[in-house]
Amino acid sequence: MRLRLAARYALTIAALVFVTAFVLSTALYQQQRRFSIELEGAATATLSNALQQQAMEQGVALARSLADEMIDAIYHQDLTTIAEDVADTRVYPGVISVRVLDHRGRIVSDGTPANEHAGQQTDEPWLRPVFEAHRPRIDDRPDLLKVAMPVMAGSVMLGIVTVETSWSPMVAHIDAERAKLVAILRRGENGFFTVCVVLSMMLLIGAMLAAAAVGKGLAEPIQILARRARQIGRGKRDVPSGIHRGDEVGDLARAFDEMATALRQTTVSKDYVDNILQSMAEMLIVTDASQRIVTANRACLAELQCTEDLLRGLPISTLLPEIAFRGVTRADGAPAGDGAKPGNRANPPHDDGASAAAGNDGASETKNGEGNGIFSDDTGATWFSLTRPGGGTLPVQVSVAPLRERGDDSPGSVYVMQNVAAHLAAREQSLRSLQEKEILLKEIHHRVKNNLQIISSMLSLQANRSIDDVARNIFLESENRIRAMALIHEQLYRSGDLARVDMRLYVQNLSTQIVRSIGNHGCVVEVEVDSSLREVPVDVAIPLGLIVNELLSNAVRHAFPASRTGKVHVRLRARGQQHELEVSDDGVGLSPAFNADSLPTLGLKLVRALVEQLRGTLEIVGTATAESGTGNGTGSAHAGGNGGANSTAVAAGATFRALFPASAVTGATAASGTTDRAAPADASPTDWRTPS
Amino acid sequence: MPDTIGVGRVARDVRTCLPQVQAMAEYLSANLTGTEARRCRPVLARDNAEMVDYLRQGIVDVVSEAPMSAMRFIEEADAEILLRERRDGVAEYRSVVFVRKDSGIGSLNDLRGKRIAFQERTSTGAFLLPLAMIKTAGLRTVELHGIHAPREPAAVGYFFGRSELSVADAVRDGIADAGALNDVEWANLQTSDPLVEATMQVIARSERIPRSFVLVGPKVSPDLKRALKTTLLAMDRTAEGRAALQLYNKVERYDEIDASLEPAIRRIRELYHLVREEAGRDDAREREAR
Repeated sequence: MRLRLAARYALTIAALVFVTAFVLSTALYQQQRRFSIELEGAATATLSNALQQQAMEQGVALARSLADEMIDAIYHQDLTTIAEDVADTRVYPGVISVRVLDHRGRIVSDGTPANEHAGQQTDEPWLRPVFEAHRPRIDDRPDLLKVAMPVMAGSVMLGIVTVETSWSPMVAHIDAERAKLVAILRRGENGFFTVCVVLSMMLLIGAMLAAAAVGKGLAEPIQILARRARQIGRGKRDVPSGIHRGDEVGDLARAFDEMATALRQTTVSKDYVDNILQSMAEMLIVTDASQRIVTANRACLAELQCTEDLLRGLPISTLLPEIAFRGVTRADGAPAGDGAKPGNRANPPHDDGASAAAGNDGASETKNGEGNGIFSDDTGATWFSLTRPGGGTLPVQVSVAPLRERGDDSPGSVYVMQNVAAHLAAREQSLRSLQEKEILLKEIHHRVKNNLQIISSMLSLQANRSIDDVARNIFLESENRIRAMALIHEQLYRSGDLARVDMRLYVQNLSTQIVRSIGNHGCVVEVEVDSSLREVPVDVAIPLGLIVNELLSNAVRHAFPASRTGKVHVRLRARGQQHELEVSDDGVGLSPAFNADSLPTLGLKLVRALVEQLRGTLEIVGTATAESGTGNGTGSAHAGGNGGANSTAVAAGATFRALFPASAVTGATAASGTTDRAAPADASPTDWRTPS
Repeated sequence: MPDTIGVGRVARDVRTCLPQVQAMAEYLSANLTGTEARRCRPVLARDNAEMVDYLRQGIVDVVSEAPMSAMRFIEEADAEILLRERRDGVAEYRSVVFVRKDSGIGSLNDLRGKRIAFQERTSTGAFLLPLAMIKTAGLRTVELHGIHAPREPAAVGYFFGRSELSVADAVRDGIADAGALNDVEWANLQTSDPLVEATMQVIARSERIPRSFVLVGPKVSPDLKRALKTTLLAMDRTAEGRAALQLYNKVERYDEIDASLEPAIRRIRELYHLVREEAGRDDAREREAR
């Protein structure tokens, strides 16, 4: 039988109190019984003594009264009065005999009606002290009490009155009184017994009530705490127990509240989690170990346009067949969507064996933390088709994670899905826009190239019509420069990358274009570009192209005068934190009088300006040759060049080496506006190999 | 000559009176000279008649008594007056008859048809003397047996109240129309109870008579008479004697009987003759009862 704490407490205390009360009552009753017996004995003795004393006093008083009354009668020998007084005395209870003696001891009255002994002389020893001392005498015998009382008138003794009384009435009286006392004691015992019983019952009832009250006082807070514990179990942890006591129960309640507070501060409640889950914009589905849907949040229900009851129990494969049947796995190779353990190979309820590992069927995953992942299929799209129960599909991005509770070896799964329909539409729009912009940019590059070609053609026409060689060269150099720029735009719109230029291809085309334009002049141009520098931004490629155009054009024109042949090397390579553009030849070299700082040619000024635009430095190395003084000026320029600190005479060829910071070439944007730097106003021939 | 001298008194209260008389007897036993008698003993008589007997028989030799009783002892037992006794501080006294002030009674003549309370039958000042006054006034008297006895319209009815207080109470309570006491008792009553003075008044006073006499019986010898006379006259001269006198009956002293007392004694005899019948009435009845 299950008893509540208060009842158990009450019964226990009541039993203890009842046993205690029973033992105490029994002991008290026995004590009272012994006390009654002792009291009966003591009272009987006391009563006996008192009654004996009373009887004795009564006998004495009776004798004294009789003696007083008889003073006149004895003095005057009034026998009639004496007889009447004696007769009156004899009727008292217990009086056996009454005698009246005169002062000489003769019997005046023997107490009998006949008074036969009247006049007889008595000589009783016990009376002698009375006659001699004139004092009363009491003879206390077992069976009777004898009192002799002198009859005195002042100091004159007139006679003696003797009264004999029996103890029998007194004994009877004592017995009667003792019987009364015993009856009283018995009533007292009975009353005491009744009081004990009543008190025991009252104690029992009182103890039960008190124990019930105490038990209730203990049980109630415990019940409150139990309810409170259930509330906490349900996640309601913000309600205090409301128990404010100073005892241990109060301590327990305070500890409980503190625990609830700590739980509230350190953990999240189910409601809190539910609220979070329900408030999520992402769709959330929780499945059990068999991959059947346990619950879904509001966003999911809204997207699926159904109720949770409809979803509950459905296999997740019903909604996400691609995950279930295609065996979407995580990027680490472990199959996702496993019916038993997310992260392992999928094992849907209706698995048809079509599951495949990532890499085999093209599925891949973007890692998003341990045990979690965003899946993509083999097409590269990071979305799946979510099937609505009522029909229709929805593109979603899915992440799945195991839902493992403590001690649970068969975890469920949490599927978090995001409707990517809008995202896909936006991406599609972006792609279209990007394609349009690429087309437009290509078209711009194409038109720029065409425009530059028109300008170049116009300069070419202008050069052909020019009769002045200097002017004609100026037109031709300008034409080449514009062609160099147009070539970049042409290469840009022809390539897929509109931002970066393939420098190897560009320099090859540029060198071909220069040779075609001005002839090879007995040289062979070789181009060498490091693979790391093949693609550079367009705003870097243009100044680089112009630099190459100037240096290569100069080298082809002037490094191999007459029938001299040789090679011109164009190199773009990386050197540590710097990139190097080198144009070298094995031609006649630089003129000994060559001075880069003072040479007024537009080409070299342009080169120096473009190098500075790219935050680089220019190094010129060249040597004079025998032909240099006899050439068309170019060779002499090489041989007679004065390079200053950097211009030293070389035995053969010349080298122009520009060093740029790596950042200026590979990605850094060139200083703005530098590409628009106007050419020096004092344009001059670019043949700095020609002796000045 | 008897060996024992009986010192007598009429008294019913043996307890009180026997020690008093015993004191006198012991004094006389110790101090009586000039006689062969050596031992005195107290003898109490219940009434005057018994005392008369004791005197005649010689059981009582000497006795003190008020004038009316003394006159009876003289006439009936041949007793002889030996000395005058000063008692209660006075040598003479008299009777007073008093009534309530609102009673309408102003004189003895107004007592006709009324009731008067006396003290006791043997009393001189509170019975015999006032009774003689009433008779001298020409009124007839009749004894009422009990307070509820019917009145005699032509006579003055009387009854006994046993003590002076009971007499005064009877008058005050209306049981009796008048009361009679000797003047010493009346004075004591006035002193002890202020209401007496306020509510009562005296309507008649008797003539003064000697307070008491010492008498000797007819069998007393002349020597004994002289010895008794000598001893009693000398009693107040010693402390022992005065103590014995005080204890005996508040007696101050004894005076010799001289010629000045003869008229008073004769007057007492005359008054006694007026009430001799009433004085001996109860004695006879009681003796018959005994």
